[in-house]
Amino acid sequence: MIKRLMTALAVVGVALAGLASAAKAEFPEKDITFLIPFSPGGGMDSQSRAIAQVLSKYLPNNVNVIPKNVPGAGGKKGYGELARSAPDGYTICVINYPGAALPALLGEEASYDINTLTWLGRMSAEEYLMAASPKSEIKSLDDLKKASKPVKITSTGPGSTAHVGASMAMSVIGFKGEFLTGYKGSADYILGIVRGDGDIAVAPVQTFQKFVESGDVTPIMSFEKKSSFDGVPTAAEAGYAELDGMGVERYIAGPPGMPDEIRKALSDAIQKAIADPETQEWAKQTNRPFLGLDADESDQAVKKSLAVMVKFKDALK
Amino acid sequence: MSGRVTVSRLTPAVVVFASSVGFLIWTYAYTGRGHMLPALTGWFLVIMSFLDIVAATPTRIGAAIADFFAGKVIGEPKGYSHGTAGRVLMAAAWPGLFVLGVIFFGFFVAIPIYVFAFMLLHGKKKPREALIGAAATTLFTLVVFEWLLNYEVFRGIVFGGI
Amino acid sequence: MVEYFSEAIALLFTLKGIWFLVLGTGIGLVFGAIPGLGGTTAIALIIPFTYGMSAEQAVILVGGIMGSVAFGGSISAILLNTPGIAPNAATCFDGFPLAQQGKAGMAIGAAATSSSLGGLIGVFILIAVIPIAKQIVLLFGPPEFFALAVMGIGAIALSTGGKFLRGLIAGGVGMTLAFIGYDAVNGGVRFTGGVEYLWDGISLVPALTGLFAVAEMIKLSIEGGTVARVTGDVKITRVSDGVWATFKNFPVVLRGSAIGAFIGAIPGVGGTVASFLSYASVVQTAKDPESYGKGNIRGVIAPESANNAKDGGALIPTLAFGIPGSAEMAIFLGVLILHGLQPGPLMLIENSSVIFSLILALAVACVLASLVGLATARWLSLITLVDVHIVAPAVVSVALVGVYALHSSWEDVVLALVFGWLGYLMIRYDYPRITLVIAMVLGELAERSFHQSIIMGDGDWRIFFSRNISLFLLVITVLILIAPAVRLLIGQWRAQGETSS
Repeated sequence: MIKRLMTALAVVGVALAGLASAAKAEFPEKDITFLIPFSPGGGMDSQSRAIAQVLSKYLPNNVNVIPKNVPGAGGKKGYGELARSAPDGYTICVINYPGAALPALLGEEASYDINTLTWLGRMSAEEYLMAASPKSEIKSLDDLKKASKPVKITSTGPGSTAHVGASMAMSVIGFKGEFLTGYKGSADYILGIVRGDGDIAVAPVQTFQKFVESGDVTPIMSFEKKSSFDGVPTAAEAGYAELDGMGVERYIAGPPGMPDEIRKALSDAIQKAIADPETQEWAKQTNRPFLGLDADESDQAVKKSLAVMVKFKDALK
Repeated sequence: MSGRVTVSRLTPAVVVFASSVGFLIWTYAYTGRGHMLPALTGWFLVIMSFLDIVAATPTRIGAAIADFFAGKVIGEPKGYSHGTAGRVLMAAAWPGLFVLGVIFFGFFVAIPIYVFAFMLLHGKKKPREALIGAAATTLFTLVVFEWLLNYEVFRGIVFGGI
Repeated sequence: MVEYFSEAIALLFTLKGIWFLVLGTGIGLVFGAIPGLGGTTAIALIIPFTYGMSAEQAVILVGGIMGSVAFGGSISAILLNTPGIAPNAATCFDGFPLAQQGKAGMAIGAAATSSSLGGLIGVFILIAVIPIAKQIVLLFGPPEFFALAVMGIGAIALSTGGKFLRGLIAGGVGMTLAFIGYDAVNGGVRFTGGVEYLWDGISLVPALTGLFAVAEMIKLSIEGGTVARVTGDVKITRVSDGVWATFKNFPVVLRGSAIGAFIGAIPGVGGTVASFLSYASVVQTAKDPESYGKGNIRGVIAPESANNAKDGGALIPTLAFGIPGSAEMAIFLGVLILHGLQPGPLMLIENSSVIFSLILALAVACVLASLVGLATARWLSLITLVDVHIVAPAVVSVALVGVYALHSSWEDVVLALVFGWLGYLMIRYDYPRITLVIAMVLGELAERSFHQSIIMGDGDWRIFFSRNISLFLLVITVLILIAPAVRLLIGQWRAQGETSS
């Protein structure tokens, strides 16, 4: 009797284990949606699509990763859709950081909580550069500090990552600035200083690169660890350690509460996709380097950064 | 103006005026630079729509304003009917119901029902014609959007679209 | 530059090149004609398919789409009073009345011819201007944008055929709609009543589709009959009449293309403004302004030349700085990035083969699209003879599917419906929709540029007058606005002179 019971239990146990492992091994069984909370065209969209294309190679069962643009409300629409999706690994999203963290930092209501998202990895980190208009009197960091009247800074608006960078720079360096906002994108507000609407602007080094090369803007200070431009100091060299390494990062995240195995599977696939020679070649050609972190590293990086940014909450308002 | 059917000008002018006043009040909920241009527009609308009301009244000053910049009242050819209120409401209701159908059941359910019902009830067409029209429209949508463009048309709340 | 072009020609006239061009043209025509979809959606949807192609091939495909979309849209504008894409809204004003008079063939013929001529002239202007492109783009900043916006709204208000007061009111309403949403200049969200959908403001394409297509279908449902309502023998006029009319009115084509290219070159202003301004300019300088809105063929030629020329114009800032002059250009740059190219001020030199392939594809596509249109115009015109009871629900259905497809948003569909009701009320109670639309399009630019200019001028209003170009534009605006009053006074003065002598 007992022997029969034991056999039955064993059979059931094996069956269950079989089912469980089968379920696990079956992820992913259908196509994965990769949300892009911005309009098509532009650096973030292109980078996300480049990764999505390669990601399929490194996921089992040959599933496709389908990019889906969900523009609106400065990214909040897409992030909201992510937060509402099931954490089954079939919906992931590119996160523009620290932009996505702003609503929480500024105490605004949002349809997602940046603190609970499941971080799957980081794609890129582009550090900022501060550059001046050729028509402005400001030609160097010293000029900036000595400026008698408020300096005009162009940006898209208070919700953007570059605007955050500029605000913090203003607060740390201690110069008086006035924001000239409302531009449609980074290309537009850079054109704004080329044209002379404003005095300075803050944007990722990569976005500024071509304009520096053609002489249309004058670089003043770099937020990079190591300055890409001769004669231009980094924030750390100039004595502003808090601004060191500031920039915009692009992470990939999933909805809150994703099971560990799925999280790990996606994280591994993303890292492999980044390391893929095709991706690396693309990154080199377009000057958009990938600086990958895996899921755990990303998680730590974000939490650390959030802790720092909370201290600057008032400067951001 | 023999043989011409005209439209009441007073009622819409009053409605616009009332809405402008409402909008103007709303602009005061905002302060500083964000308030400036909306408030300016609000005042502009209030003044202009008031002039429009005056222009619609059968007074001398009204006629003068109308002459200067309100233009002649539209006149359609004889026999033209702007439709009774009932007919207008019906015509406006059809797309409204269609959109409701789309939201709940998606396009592929709403379209055939809408086209069929509209042709049958509003257009008084024969059922066979209405059926053909409904089928043609649905097929067109299917071929062009789902097939050619590889685009998933909205399935509606009931079928998991949201 | 010649060697760049010969390189591009060599790339285009291969089997694959021609195939992609034809494919792009076809896609553009279809996407253009279906309301709600458009060039941006088309390009966005084909991006995944371009992975296996070379950059030049992808660009030929994109150029094919860009060159044909505007003409595709004019077909639905003429036949169904439904702008295929936003810039076609101006074509509805005279195109649809022509269809109602049984002259749809002529209208399509004119649209086809002016589209191809406009596109070619736009490309020509682009090429002529390339050496000084940078300087031109730099001349236009926020004060000039504001002056342009004011001029635009004023000019349009005047082309409402005597209904100036109601035109201004409709314009005011359009401005209030433009204020809805997030205000990037001053921070904060306005007039949304807490609805997150309205955060980005009123979406133009659903609004236009509702205002024109849905409204017209509601009106037709009440009236019954067919779109073409000429009593007696309804003959679809010859397409060649339209072609001939375009050549006869070549100055209109030239002016329209110039306006299109110019406005298209200003980033952020866009094709809708270009076609509306072109329409307004031809109405205001006409000897018979009251004939517009009732089927004056020039009312089709002017906007159609402009909305094709704008693509050439939009390439100017795109090539000068790598800054997109229009939404399609933005996606085009995205396609370039995807294929490993870097847009920027040096793009013309570094990526010449790709750029010139685009220009060539654009030019050839607009001619090709027009030829297709001319060939099929007669059959397309037959739609105007179909009973409204099948046309109305069919148009509403397909238009709303297109609207949904734009952003995968059912809220957009509801928005289109609401604007449909609004549009019908405006038709019935005689409020011009043209000023509402232009104010909605320009209102945001106007307010944003205004505040930016004030900050630039350190709070001093005189900045608008201290800069040459903005001063010039504002003076023109004043002249345009007082012109009819002046004309009226001169007319009265002359009449008095005659009676007294």
